[in-house]
Amino acid sequence: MSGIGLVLNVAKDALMTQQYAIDVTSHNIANVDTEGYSRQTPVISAKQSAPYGGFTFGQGVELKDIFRNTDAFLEKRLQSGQSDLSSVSEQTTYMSVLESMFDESSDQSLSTQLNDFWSAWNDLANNPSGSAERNSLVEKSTLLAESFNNLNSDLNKTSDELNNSIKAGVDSINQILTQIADINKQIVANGSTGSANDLRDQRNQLVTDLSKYIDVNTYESNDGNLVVSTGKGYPLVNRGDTYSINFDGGKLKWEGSGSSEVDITGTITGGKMGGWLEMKDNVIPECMANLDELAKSITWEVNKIHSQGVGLEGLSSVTGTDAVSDNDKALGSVDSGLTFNDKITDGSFKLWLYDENGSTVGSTDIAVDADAMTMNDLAGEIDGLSINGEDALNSMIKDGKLYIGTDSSHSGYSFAFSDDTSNVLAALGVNTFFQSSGSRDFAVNDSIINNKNNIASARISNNVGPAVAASGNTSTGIITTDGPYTGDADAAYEIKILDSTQFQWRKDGGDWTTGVIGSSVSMSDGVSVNFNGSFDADDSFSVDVTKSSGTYGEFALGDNSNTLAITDLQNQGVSIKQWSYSGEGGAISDDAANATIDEYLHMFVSSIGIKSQSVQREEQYKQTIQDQFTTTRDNISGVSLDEEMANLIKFQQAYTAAAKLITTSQDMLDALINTVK
Amino acid sequence: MRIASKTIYERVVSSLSTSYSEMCKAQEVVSSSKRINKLSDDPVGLVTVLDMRSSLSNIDQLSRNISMGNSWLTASESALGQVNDILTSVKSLTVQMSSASTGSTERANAAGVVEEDLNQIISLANSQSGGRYIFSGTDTDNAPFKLNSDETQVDYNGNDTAFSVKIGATSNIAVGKVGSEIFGKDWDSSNIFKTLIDLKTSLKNNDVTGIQEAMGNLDQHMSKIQDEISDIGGKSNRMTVKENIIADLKLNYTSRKSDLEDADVSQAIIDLNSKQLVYNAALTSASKVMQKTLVDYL
Repeated sequence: MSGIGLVLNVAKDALMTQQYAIDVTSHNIANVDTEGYSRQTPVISAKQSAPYGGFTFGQGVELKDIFRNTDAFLEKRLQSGQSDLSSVSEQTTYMSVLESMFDESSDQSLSTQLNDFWSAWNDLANNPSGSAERNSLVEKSTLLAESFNNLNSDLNKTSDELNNSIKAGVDSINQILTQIADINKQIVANGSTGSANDLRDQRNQLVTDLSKYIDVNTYESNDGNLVVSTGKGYPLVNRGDTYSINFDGGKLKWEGSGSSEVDITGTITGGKMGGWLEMKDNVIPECMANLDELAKSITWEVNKIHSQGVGLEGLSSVTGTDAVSDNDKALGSVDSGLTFNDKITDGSFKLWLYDENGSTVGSTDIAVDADAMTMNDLAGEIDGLSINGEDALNSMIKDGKLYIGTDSSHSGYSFAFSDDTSNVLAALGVNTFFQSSGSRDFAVNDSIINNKNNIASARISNNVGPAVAASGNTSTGIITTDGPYTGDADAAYEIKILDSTQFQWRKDGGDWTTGVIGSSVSMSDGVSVNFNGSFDADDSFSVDVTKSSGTYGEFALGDNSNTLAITDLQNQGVSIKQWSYSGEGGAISDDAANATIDEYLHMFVSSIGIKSQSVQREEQYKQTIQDQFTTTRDNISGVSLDEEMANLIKFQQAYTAAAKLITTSQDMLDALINTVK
Repeated sequence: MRIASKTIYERVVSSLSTSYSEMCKAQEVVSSSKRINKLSDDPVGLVTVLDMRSSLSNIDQLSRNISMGNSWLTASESALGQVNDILTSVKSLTVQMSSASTGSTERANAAGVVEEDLNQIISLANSQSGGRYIFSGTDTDNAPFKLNSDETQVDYNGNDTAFSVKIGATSNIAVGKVGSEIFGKDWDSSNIFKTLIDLKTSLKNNDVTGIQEAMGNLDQHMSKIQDEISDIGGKSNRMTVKENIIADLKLNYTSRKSDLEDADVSQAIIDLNSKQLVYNAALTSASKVMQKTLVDYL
């Protein structure tokens, strides 16, 4: 058709179309700052033309569609970028918390405490019997130990905070999942009737919010249904159905259909959840494990030396600090339950007895077979000891700990230890300085705190070194040697096994003397040798002895030899385990090669700095990328007010022009009607 | 290219926060004059800084040990110097008394002088430094020498290990002395106290042979004491060398620590100014671009 009716019709359509376009524009302007809003564009096209009078006339205009300007690829990229960014920024936050715990700029830092600790030992070496030095050492050591305790509890607190964050995060995730499912239902229902632009924007925004918590994958099917799954493919939303996540026993569980639960903790790498889990399951445990190793190392190295010495007075009773879990398991085996069971080796230690006047009664060697001797054996042997005819010592097991004391009929008697080559005293916590099984319970031994005279600065003059097996030795037996050496110069003994019953010895490369293997065979100058176990022919041992200084078994208040040995520790390389935790690898430990305790601490503190620095840099990098993508997305989907204003004017003028069409056609009609009149 | 309206706001916000945080960081460096304020500022440099810090603390401790050792050495040197002076005067007295022209009364008087000298040497042999006996081995709480009740013998009560202090990572130096090694271990002619007690008896008894015998022994003792004094001198010397080394090390470590840890203040201030400039520029440009849209002109 044509004619004036057509003009009117076209004008009416044009008015309506331009008004729709202005509606869309106003919607855009209104949502200029709405998070996740995508700019909408009216799609206006010419209507199908119609033939009339031999010509084809256009039929005006119509609104074909309201188009949502989005780029699906960019949206997905943004969402996964958001996951990565949230993960590292949570790690950055928590790393800065760790950094402040290990802050090295203050005087209370761990390394300062450790320096003070070494200094206190040096001061004690300068004045071994000084009570001020002893008090100061105990105080400095307690401060050091407390620093470890505080760090331990701070790390645990951080772990608890992370658990709370994860719990709250899981609630948020489940809530978002329900919302996505609701919108899914609406969009699918809407499917045939409309394009649901704004619902899609909302859903998109929800997925972005979800990405902040967890890494997700999405897939939109033709009917508008959005399938959401975790980064590793566990479905979370499909149509109106949700599969929720819960946090139980430190693990994230995915609840599948029915009542099946799957542990997905290890599969979450992105989002805040990924960052929290990384901190909770890897960074903090690694930090804790290394802190524990450091505490254990300080404990062990100091105790090992300390247990060789003697304080200002002998001991009247001593109780070990570490308990065995089973009195009948070999002390050197894991089953014994001792923290330092692996440090116990075959060897022996000397137990000295002093009478009420402090004079030496005598000493005895107690041989330790790491794989055979149990707590019961050791306590039994000490309990039954008769030293130089005097059975003055009681020994028993108290709550798994070794107790040794003088009995009531020998009041005023005391005892002391020396020359422990088996490490058993240090492992049991007998005559030790520290007690700990890690950073949590790191402390100065109560017996030192109660009686500072028990700080073992001196060593008992014994003069006979331990028997050292030559390389290639295959004997399973133990040789111990005993003094006092009465010769007038330092000497060296060599001991050679001839067969299972005979051995030979010589002093300082002199002539060989043959002897019969037995429990106590004297060689020369007061030195005797004890054989325990079975021996192979041609095996050999050596014993170094030093010239006698002082009287056998005595110790001097001014003797600082044991303290000097402890101060040497500061510059000695020790082997300390280094732990590293990772999601795939679990916990791996490496022996740090020959670093001093100070160096290990410095490396440890610096490793926290390095981790923190690397997540900070990663965050910056991820943020830059995310900003770039956001800009690109906004270039496509964001509202530009200038553009909308220009469009508004464009559509407004078109609207005005369409209105003009109506007046024109009215004029035309008027003209026609007047003609008829 | 079309730019969305919010892009400009977001850019403004992000560039303002970046330049603000950089300015804060620069300000922190200036105000603390430290380059490393947090572990993550330079974790690798931090290891060296911490190593230097513990080395410095160790060095401070060692110099305390050395000065403590020096006080022992000074005390020993002065005590032994006095012993030497006394022995010299005893020697000249003995020479005088051995002369045939000396009468028994003079000799008996001289015996009193020798007794006085003996007591003085015992008291010097019991010298203390900081309340500890320096000639007692490590048995520093007990006086090493004691004249027995009938004044015929002086016993050594110390032990045979000299007291040591730590002057290096692995080196200890004996600053105390084992008294018996200086004054005589066995009760024979090598024992200073025996010589003096015998001399006193000889003088009392007017025994010229005994006096002459003492003369020979005194020479031995004096040369022994002089050996000990020169040994102490050698140790003092070693301590001085060690002290100098430590002072050099301290300077070296302090400067290395400072290189890594301390900020170059002028550079830091320039940095701060430039960051401030950037921040100001960001603020100014933000205030300009955020004002205008097409709406203003319609």
